[in-house]
Parts: sequence; structure tokens; C-alpha cells
Amino acid sequence: MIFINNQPFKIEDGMTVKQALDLFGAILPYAVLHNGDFLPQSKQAETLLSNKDVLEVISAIQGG
Amino acid sequence: MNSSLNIYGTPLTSRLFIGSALYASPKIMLDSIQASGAEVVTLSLSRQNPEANGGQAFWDYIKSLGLHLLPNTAGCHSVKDAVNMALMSRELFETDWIKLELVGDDYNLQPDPIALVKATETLIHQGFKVLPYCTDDLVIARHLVDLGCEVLMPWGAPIGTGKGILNPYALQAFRDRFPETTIVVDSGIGLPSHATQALEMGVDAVLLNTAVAKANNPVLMAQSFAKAIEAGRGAYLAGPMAERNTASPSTPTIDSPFWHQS
Repeated sequence: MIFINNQPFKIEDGMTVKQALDLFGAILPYAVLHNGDFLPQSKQAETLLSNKDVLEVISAIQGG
Repeated sequence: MNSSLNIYGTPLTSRLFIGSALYASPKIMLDSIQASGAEVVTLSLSRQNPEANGGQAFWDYIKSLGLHLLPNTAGCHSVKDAVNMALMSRELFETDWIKLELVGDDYNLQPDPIALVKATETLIHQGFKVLPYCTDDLVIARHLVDLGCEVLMPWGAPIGTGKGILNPYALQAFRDRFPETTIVVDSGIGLPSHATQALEMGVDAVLLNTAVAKANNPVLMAQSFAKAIEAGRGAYLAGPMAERNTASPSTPTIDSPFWHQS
């Protein structure tokens, strides 16, 4: 079990960040925090997840 | 009349930076931004909700404008949060510009000056072009410039208040102490006359959002700001008259029909 945007999310052993986000339904373009640290797009397909990992999927919004 | 503004080597014609938040609808946002003539638009980041299409519609609208993007770090309270936000913004928006906001007090959203300097140092080392949102404190500003900031963004008044330039003396001192630095007044502007005042003082540009987005007619207000900023810049370049304490007739009175030499 991991957490994506504060929601519990079930994963299988050996799953990468990219695979989990695809299952979550994340829509490109997005940026990712993995356990509180920025994870570049180039690393998302190779970074393995562990139990209780926390992902934040971030995208553009209005700002001042 | 309006000589070019330069932001980290990028020349700009408009001296108005505009925000993309708080508009009643996407159409009003787009129409207002276009009416303002701004070439720089600010935006931010938030957790994605795939059920709401991940904010894709907003992103498509903003891209369609073809403007320079200035992502902010709004809502960040720590150096780590701000740096992470900047790194994500650079990847998403493909720009190394970052409007660095680090809240130090939730009452007036005043920037945390210590964290601001630390985050600026980290981000500049990582290749960012930092536009720090700061107060009008000259000492903090000196640290930011010494770290490599070519742009400073002092507040006029707290964010969203629309109170205008609360401390004109401090802002003028800011301008005078950093003559080689681009100064953009960020926050507190409520009326076009506030923007004119800033430009008349020699400030290079203003960044605003709420004043346009929350106007009864945002498009008309955006146009009004554009004119006000042009007027302020023109007045600064023209050089104002010296203020006097006593009256001085503008019409020559010598040899007028009613003139009597005593």
C-alpha cells in the first residue's frame, strides 16, 4: 500500500512510480514528489516503490 | 516612449505582469490577460485530481496565449517546499524563471526573509533565474542581489489587499538603492492609479492579479491598467516638475491690461 495525493493506493511488488501513476489515472503533464523529494520524469519509470511510500502528483493551476 | 524592459535577458514591451487566478471563468481570464497586453503570466502548481481531468483545460488555455510563463511557489512555508516546487515547475513549464514566494506570516502573507535568502541561494546554484517576492527591506534585498538576483519583487501592500503602495518612501529608497536591478512591484496594487504611482517612481513593472480578476469588468480593468502603466512610465521618462510650496502663476502677468508696476 502506498499513498498518492493522500489517498491509499494498492500496488504490487516491483511496481515503479510510473506504473503506479498510470494505474492511478494521472494525466500528463504532471510533476512528482516521491517521499517529499522531487522525482524527475526521467527517473519515474525506473524508481521502484516500497510499502508506505508517498507520491504527490502535481499539475498546473491558476496562480497570482 | 516605453523603452524595453529586460527580465534576465528577455526583452519585454509590456511592463505589466498578470496573474491567472481568481477569474470568474476561463473565458474572462483569457480575455482579461489578452486585454492587459501583458507578456508574462503567472501560474502555480497543485495536486492533480484525475477525475477533474488533471487541470488539463487550464493548462491548454494558458498555453494558447503563447506568453512567458512565470510559475510561483505560492503557499510554501519552508525552503525545502519552495525548492521542490521550483524544480517541479521547471520540469512542467520548461522555464527556469521562478517567482519565489515563501510565506513567513499567515496574517499578512509577509515573506519570510531568512528562508527567502536561503532558498534563493539554493535555486540560483541549481540554475534558476529567481524573481523573489520580498518586502521593501533594503538589507534583505542587498543579500538577494549579491546572490545573483537581477530582479526584485517588493510588495506594495500585502497580497490581495488592493491598498496600493503603503510605504512610498520605502519603495523609492528601494528604487534608489538598486538602480541596476529590475524592480517589479508585486502585490497590493488595487487601482490603475497605484500602478501609475509605482511607474512614476521609476519602478520597472508591476505584477497584479486580484485587481483585475475581482473588478466588476475585468477586461476593462485590464485595459485601464495597461494605459495607467504606460502613463506612469512616460511620466518617469519625461521627468516631473519640481514640487513647490508656494503658488506660482502659470500665465505671465507682466504687461497684462490690469498690471500696475508699484
